[in-house]
Formats: sequence, structure tokens, C-alpha cells
Amino acid sequence: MSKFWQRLYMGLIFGFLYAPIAVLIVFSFNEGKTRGSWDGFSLTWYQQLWQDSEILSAVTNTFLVAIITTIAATIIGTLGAIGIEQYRSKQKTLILGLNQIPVINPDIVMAVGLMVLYRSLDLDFGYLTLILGHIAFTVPYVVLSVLPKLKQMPRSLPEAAMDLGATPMQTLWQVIIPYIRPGIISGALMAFTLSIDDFVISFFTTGNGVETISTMVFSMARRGINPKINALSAIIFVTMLVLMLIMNIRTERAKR
Amino acid sequence: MTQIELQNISKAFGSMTVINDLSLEIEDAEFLTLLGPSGCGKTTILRIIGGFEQPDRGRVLFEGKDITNLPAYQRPVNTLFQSYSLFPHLNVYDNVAFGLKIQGLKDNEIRPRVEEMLRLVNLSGYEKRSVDRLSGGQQQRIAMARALINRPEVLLLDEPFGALDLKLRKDMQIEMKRIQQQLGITFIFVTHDQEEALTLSDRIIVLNEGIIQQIGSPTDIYNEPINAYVADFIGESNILEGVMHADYDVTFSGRRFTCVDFDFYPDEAVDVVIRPEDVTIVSPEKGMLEGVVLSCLFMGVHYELQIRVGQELYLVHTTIPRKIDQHVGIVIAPDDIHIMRKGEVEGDEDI
Amino acid sequence: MKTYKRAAAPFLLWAAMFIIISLVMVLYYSFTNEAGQLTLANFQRFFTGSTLGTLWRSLKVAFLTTVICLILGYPLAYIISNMKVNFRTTAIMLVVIPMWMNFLLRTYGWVTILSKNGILNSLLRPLGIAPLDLLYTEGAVTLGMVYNFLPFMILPIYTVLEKMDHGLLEAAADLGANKWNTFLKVILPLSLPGIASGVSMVFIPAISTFEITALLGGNKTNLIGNVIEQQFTVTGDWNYGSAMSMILMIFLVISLLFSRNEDTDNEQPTPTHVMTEERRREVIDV
Repeated sequence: MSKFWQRLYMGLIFGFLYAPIAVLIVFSFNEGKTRGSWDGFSLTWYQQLWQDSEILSAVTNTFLVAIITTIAATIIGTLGAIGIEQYRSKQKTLILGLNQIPVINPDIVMAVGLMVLYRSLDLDFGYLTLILGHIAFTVPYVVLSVLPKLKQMPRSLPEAAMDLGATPMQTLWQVIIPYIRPGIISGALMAFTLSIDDFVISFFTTGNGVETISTMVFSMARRGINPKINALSAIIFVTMLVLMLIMNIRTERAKR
Repeated sequence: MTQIELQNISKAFGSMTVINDLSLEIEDAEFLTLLGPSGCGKTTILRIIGGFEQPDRGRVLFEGKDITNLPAYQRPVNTLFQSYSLFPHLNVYDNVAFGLKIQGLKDNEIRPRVEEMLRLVNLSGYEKRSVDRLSGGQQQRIAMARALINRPEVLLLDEPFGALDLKLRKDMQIEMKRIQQQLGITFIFVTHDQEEALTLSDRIIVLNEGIIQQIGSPTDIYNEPINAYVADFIGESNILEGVMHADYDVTFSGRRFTCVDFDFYPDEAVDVVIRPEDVTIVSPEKGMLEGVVLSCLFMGVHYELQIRVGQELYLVHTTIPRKIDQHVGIVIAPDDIHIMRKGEVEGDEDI
Repeated sequence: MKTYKRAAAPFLLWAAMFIIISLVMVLYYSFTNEAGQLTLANFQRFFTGSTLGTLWRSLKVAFLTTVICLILGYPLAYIISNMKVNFRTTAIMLVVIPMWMNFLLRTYGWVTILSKNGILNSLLRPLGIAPLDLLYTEGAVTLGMVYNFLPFMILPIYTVLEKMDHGLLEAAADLGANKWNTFLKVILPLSLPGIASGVSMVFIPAISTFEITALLGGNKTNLIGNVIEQQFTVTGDWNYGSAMSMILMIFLVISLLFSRNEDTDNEQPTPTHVMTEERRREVIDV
């Protein structure tokens, strides 16, 4: 395959991947409300976005849920990984097998399980069920990103700390957690991203008018999406892009 | 004065017994070495003293107090780990200061002591360095400083020189001995390297399969190994099957020899141990035994010869090279013939 | 170190609650009726009714999606893995970046493109073939799935190809293999673990999705995910919905075990789930 054809192919695939994003961003500046026809440039949808309480509360909910989920899942998952590592290999295999179920299982099966569980516990669907659901499906990913770091840690490292007089608690905070921190950070990032991006779990576990961006987009899509959503997605996309660029530049610098 | 006492310690991992009813007394301020091949239980003994393993049976006493169930962080002993185990997220200063910070000491109390420790290990001025930028030898010294800053009464050392090259290892051995003498604390040292053990120790304990074979000073152990195992492990040895007819009268390699050992049963089967450097090579007609040279290797200071005598192989150290296939004679002096009861270990003679 | 076993307590509670108990509850629901009596009716209904046809159609769509993703994704992963390091990182970033935007929004972007008055039709209008009914078809649903899941195919294959020892390729060339032979005999077999995890990462969400179907398929295309969703949100027949979830899960477990057996035949057994995990992590790390 010549260079030209390779480039062309890449261009086509990337065009495919970015086409809807470009469309969303371009139409966020569209004067009119109809999709697909350009009525001139305007920032009206961006202005209206700030007055739309439904959208704003969905955005707040999304980030609120993601932050609480990240904190809880990171704590549960990190401590879980540390504890699991102490179990004998047979028990460990069993526990890790359990941990794997939500990762392999389709989201919808997990969501149905949560729904059924909440009903049997007689919980009201809303913030609590939504957050519990998000914690439930992100914990395994934290465990899986912390475990390799723990395996890397020599057994003698915590022993050295205790040898020097550190209690198990001090050892945990001053030696183990600093050592596995990269794993914890990537686990937390993953939990955050999964939570922000989630639709299926949220859709089944929320209620009483509590909406996230995903559930809002989904319900709006049925009755026709407001271009304000385009403006919102443009903002989210640009923010993410900038964040990623900053992170990448920083890691590049750190490498040097 | 006895500082640490192990009483009837047994330890098994799963179905594997690692230590079997072991008792041991360790003196204050001595340099004690636990010597044995890998899997002999020496590291486990160290870990039991350090508090990282619990014995299945038996007690650990420290200055007469039972510390068997005391967790590692409450014991007045510190460990120098095989892999150094420096904390990678802390710099040199914070690594050394770790123990003192844990004790809750103030910075102005910690700083002079860290500096003192770094002086002790000859690494003053390295405070700000990151530990992964240090060489193996430097990491070793920092680990030592970190372990000693708590002013332990006992330092446990688990094969600390394993990862160092030969030259550095020799330097560190000398340094360690100096530090031990300077501080006057007990060092319990684990190694499989007999040369290291002989150089450093006040006392050596030779272990095999969780059982103490022999306890003694380096000279005792080298010159008077209690059994063929110890003889073989400490230095190189020729170990031959022999029969003790009467006091001072032994047969091996098909010939009767006069020796200096006595007090055996009549015609008792024994192990005969002869150090390679104690075998003298003479012309065939003058020898007590006659053999053929199979190989001759130059070892730097001496030549190492393999000589076939009948069905047996003798390892011989000599300063004069011999030709391969040359016929030679062998002479062994009576006090170079060490007779050992089969399977005897430390303590048997008391029974 | 045994002291840290207790740290697992919250995790174990989580596992007991959200995995064991919740799946047992789903199982219980699937074998009972609304009155709580034990019954096999839910399964009978599934295997005799029209839903079996829906599962079959879902399988076809998911299979088609997976094949298209593989055909589109493999060459791209291969091209990227052969680029210079700097370009490689940028190209992989470009694959990942779209995933940072809410996937429903991105999928919705396709509605704007495909709808009757959409961009594509207005581009085609001068050619005289418009307006075409593109939206709300099975084709649109498949396109949406390919669009959403393509990165999950590209990334694992790319990782395997990128880590591949270039000495192997030189060795193959040295032994007289031409480019095509090198690819067939060396590169392709060695990238099988990546393909396997890509396939499972595309197939599993593709067979269970209902949101993409709802957005791009309108009410015309129904897949198994939609039927399950309707039991819980529209008809309220949780028992039947649970039974279908169980069937879907067991079906996937069996096919996963099957693909893992195939893996062990290979020289490098890579458990699919491990690769999946690594992949998802790298997606976020980039």
C-alpha cells in the first residue's frame, strides 16, 4: 500500500469519526432551529443554554454524581485491591472472578440487576440509587487498575516500614498508598470518565426527575433535540480537548 | 549476656517444614551469621526475629521478655533487607528520617541524627538525592543508615550483598564490620556465602533443612567441621567413605591411614574429610596413594587438580601445575584427616 | 500483612450486594411471575414467541457490526502502528478524543446528517437521487454501532501490533517471505489476541445496546436490548425482562468461554477480559 492510499484511508476513517462532532459544533452556531439547514451564524444557543434550568441541572447532576462516584469507588476499590492481595490464591481467584462480572456483563444486565435489587430493598429511585449504581459499576475498574501496581510492590517495602516502627495504618498511608498512587489515579480517572459517559446504568437507576446529560439527551432525542444541546456538547468537547492537551503537554515535559 | 533467645521454634509453610524445633541463644553485641544454602530456613529465622513471621511453635525472648507475639513495629530490632527496600517516593533524607518521623520527633531533632547517620555511612551531602539515582552500593548504605537511625539493639541483615559485584561487596563487608564495631550492637547476618561468613562473623551457625548443624567461631567451623555436610559447605572438601577400625586407625581409598581421631565403635562406617590444600603431591613411588591427573586448572593463587585414585576423585590445591594423565603420588598427614560420624549435628555429643 | 485483609471489607460488601445478591434477584425474578409463584412461563414465552426472532436479528446486527469494525479497524491500526512514534501518538489520540464526548450526543449528530432534510440528503439533492430514507433503518442502526464501537476494535489491535517485535518482521523478510506472506504468516497470527479482545469489546455492547437503536432506528428497528428495556420502562413486566437478561448473559458467557478456549490453542493465551481492561485503561490514559 502506498503512502497516498494509507493517508487517504486514514483521512476517511477520521472523517467518519469526527463528522457528527463537526456537525454538532457547526450547528451550535446556527441561527435557526432546523437541523441540516444553515440559517446564519449566531451565539443565541450559547446564551440560552445558561437560562435553561433543565440542562444546567443535568450538567450539575452529571458532575456531582461523577465526583461522588469517583471518590467512593476509588476508596472502595483501592482498599479492596489491597485486601484482596492478602488472600490465598484460590480465594483471590474467586473474588477477582466476581470483580470481573460487571466488566464483561453487558451494561443492561447490570442495570436490570440494580433495578431489581433496589426494588427488593424498597428504595426510591433518585439521587441515592443513581449514585449507588454508578459506584457499583465503576468499582471493578478501580480494583483492576490498582492491582497491577500492588503486585509490582515488593513485599519487603511495607515490611521495611513496619520494621522502622510504622503501625499498619501508618504503613498504609505513608508507604503503600504513595507507591500505588499511579494506579489509584488512573483508576479514579477511569471511574470519573465511565460515570460521566454512562447512559445505561443511569437510565435504569434514576428516577423522580433526576436527569444526567445522557438521560436528558436520550429523552430529548425522542421529542427532537434542542440546539442548546449542540452548544453544550461543543463546550464539553472543547473543554475535554483543552484538558487533554494540557495533560499531554505536562506528561511530555515530565518525560524530559 | 544473652540478648535474644529462640526456644524450640518450629515453622512450616503448608506441608513444608522449614524450621524444626530450633533453639538458639544470641549474645549481646556479637556478629552472628546464619549460614546455609537457600531453603535451609535461615531467612525464616531472621523473619521470625524481626516479627514478620509467627512461629508455629516455640518462643522468642528478648532480654528475657517473651516477644513472640509482638508485631514488627514494636520490636527493638531493625532489618537491612536483601533488596534494600528504600521507599521510592521519598528522597535520601526522608528515607533515613522515616523511623524518626514515625516516632513523632521534631524536625530539629531529626536533622542532626540523619546527618550523623549519613556521615556514618559516608554519604554526607546526598540528602536531596532521589533514591533511584543511587548506585547499588549507595542504596545499600542508605538502607543501613535508615535501619540504624532508630538506634536498634539488634540489626538483622538478610543477604545484603547479594546484588553487589565482587569488588563492591568486599568494600561493603569491611564497612559493615567497622560500623558494627563502632556502634557495638548485635548483627544477625544471613548469607549463603561461606567466605563472607568466615570473614565477618564472631560466630557462625551452619543450617541445613531447618536444623542447626554446627555453631562455632569461623576457625572452629573451618578447621573442625562437625560433619561431612558442614565440611562440604564450608570451603571445598574431599569427602570419602571410610571405616574406623580402632582409635587412630582408619581405612579409606583402599588403604589404612593413621589419624588423630578416637572414640568410635569398632569398624564404624564414617565420613573422611580432607581439605584440598592438605593433600600433598609427590612422585608416584613416594605416595601413600597413587593416582592419575585428570585436569589441572589455574585458579589465580593456586592450581586446582582433579586426581583419580582408584574409583575416587580427589580435589587437590597445589602451587605447581601437573600434566594431564601424569601419574602422581599423594601424601596426607594424620592431623589433616578429619573423621566424622555420619549424620552427626550440633549438640549430639551431649547426649 | 494479614492485617490488610480487613481493608477488603467494603469491597466484599459491594461484591455481595451488587453482584451476588443482585444477580440472584434477577434469577429469582426470571423464574417467578408477578404474584411471586415459581414458573417457567417467562422462558417458555421467550422461546416460543417473537422475541426469539428479535434475539436472532440482534445477533445478526451485532455480528455485522463486529465484522465491519474489524474490516475498517484493522487496516487503520496497522497503518498507525507503522507510523513514526510522534505521529503514532497523535493518530491514536485522534482515535480516542471523540470518546471524550458524550456518546449519545455524538450518535445524535448522525441524526442531523442522515435525516430527511439532513446534510447528506442536501448534498445528494443536486445528484437527483435525494431524498433518501436513511434514518430510522436497520442500516442507520448498524452505522451508529460501527461509529460508536470502532475505537474499541482499533485500540486493542493497535496495542498488539505496536508491541510486536520488529525483529520478527525482519526475520520473516530474511527468510524470503514477501510482504503479503509476512502479513499472513507472521503479523496476522500474532495480532489474533488483539483481534479477539477487539471482537468481544465490540460484540458485547453491540448485542445489548438499546440506546443507539432508539436514536437511529426510531421505533422501526427493535433489538433484544430494546425489548428488555421496554419490559422495565413501558410494560412493567420485570419477570419477563429478567428472564431475557439472564438469557442474554448466559449466551454471552458461553460465547466468551468459547472464544477463550480458542485462545488457549494459540501460543499466547490472552484472556479476553484482561485485554479488555488494559484497553479501557489506555483509552483514558492517552
